[in-house]
Amino acid sequence: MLRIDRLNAYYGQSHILHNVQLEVGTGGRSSVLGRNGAGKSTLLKSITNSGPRVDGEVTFNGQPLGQKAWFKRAKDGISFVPEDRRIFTHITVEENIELGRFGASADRPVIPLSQIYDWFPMLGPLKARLGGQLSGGQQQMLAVARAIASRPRILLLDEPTEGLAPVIVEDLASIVAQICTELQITMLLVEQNIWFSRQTTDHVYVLDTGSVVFSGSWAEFDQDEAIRNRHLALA
Amino acid sequence: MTSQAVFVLFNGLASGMAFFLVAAGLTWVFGILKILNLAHGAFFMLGAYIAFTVGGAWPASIWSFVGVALIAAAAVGALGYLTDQLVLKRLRNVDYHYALIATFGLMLFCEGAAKFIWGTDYQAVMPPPEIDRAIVVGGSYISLYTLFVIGAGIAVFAALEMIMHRTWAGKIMRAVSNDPWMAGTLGINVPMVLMVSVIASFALAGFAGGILVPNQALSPHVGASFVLYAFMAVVIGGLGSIRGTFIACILLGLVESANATFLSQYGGIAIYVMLAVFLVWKPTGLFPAQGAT
Repeated sequence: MLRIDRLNAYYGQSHILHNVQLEVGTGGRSSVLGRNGAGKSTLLKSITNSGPRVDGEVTFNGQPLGQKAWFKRAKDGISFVPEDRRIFTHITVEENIELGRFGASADRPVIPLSQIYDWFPMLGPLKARLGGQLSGGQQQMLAVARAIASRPRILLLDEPTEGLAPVIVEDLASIVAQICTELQITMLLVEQNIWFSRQTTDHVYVLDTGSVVFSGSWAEFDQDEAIRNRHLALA
Repeated sequence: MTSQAVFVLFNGLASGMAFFLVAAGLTWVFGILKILNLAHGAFFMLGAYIAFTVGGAWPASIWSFVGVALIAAAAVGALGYLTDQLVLKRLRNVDYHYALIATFGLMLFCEGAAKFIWGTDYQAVMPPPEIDRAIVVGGSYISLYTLFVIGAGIAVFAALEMIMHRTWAGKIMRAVSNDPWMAGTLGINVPMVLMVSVIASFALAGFAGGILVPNQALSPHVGASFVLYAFMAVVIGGLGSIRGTFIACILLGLVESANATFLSQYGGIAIYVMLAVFLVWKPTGLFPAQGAT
């Protein structure tokens, strides 16, 4: 579904990602773990071409994406939930979800609102509220709901647990896992929260200073203590 | 005294709505592109000339007058498309100083083009016959054209409010205005939304030119005075806020009109006092919007 080959990414003169190789198969779910500043967000923005200058090959659904503009990638089925959520504050919760439908296409019809409220029971009672009047947890739920409204092929999640209460993190993990299973959505998750990653994904990459230093299953990850100590400052 | 107050009120509202017709496009394009279009007044002027050329100095009826204004709107909207492709599009990702210089240059170019095409002589256009007379309201003579301009301003405001807050086009435009990156990430064609906004803004300038050309000395500099008030209104209203600009235009019109009537020896001073007061009291404007609202 997604293949990244010799990807280099730059912000101005800074070389952020170095020859990153990464692959997520159809319906597969992978995590990218790494410290702050490892280049995790840059990786996702390279896939959507919405920030860094990018060199190398991103192949999605069999098609090389090349330099295709960022706003055209949603139509291909790439849905991105950024770290800062970016809920539109001037419109309601429901209108935010409806704006997420722009990435839908003939073969990927939009998800009905009733279905979305079934998955996110927290959002139903808030649907008439303005996006600017939500708590952090509500915003994160809405950001994910908006991202899946277009029935994407792949969901890119950037640190969805950041700043959330533990009980919300648990809710979010089960909701994300359920939706990806039901809709057969491929997922690439960037996280520092290993618990959340373990709940929602089956493959792990570790990124350190812009390079992939580990790729394997959770079992392999658990056996490799050196990787965890050297590349992840685990609290 | 009452008749004087009525006169001040209607004149003020008419000036205010005239300012708003010009300011609406200015604040819209600022809200969505974050570009202060110094050439906006020049395109207003081109709209006035186009209306003069198409409709002549003596409009046959109020319907043909409005029709001519719509033709001017379409023509200036088309110029907006050209301007966007040739100039504004190149300014999307550069420092705003470049945009100021470029649109200032554009203004000089438009005024030069108008001199070249229409000459520097003053022209005049009459109001259409149905509204080219006055009625007595509260002991004061009010021209029907004055009432027509007030109505046109309110109609344009209502239409913009409807579009911005009740339609999907408006919600998309506000989304692009507030956060273009996220709007594009969701699959909204951001460059197209920006282009449509520019065309709409220019079309509004052209429409204003067609509606406001009667009772003006039509010359290549006709936009200058309007656009000055329009800029003040945009600043007082909160850059990018259509609602704020509307209220600011009414205030400016009333203050200017009262100034001219009651303090005629200090003509024009009151609006500058008002602008100064607002800059101190509410430096971000009446409705400090994050984008177009």
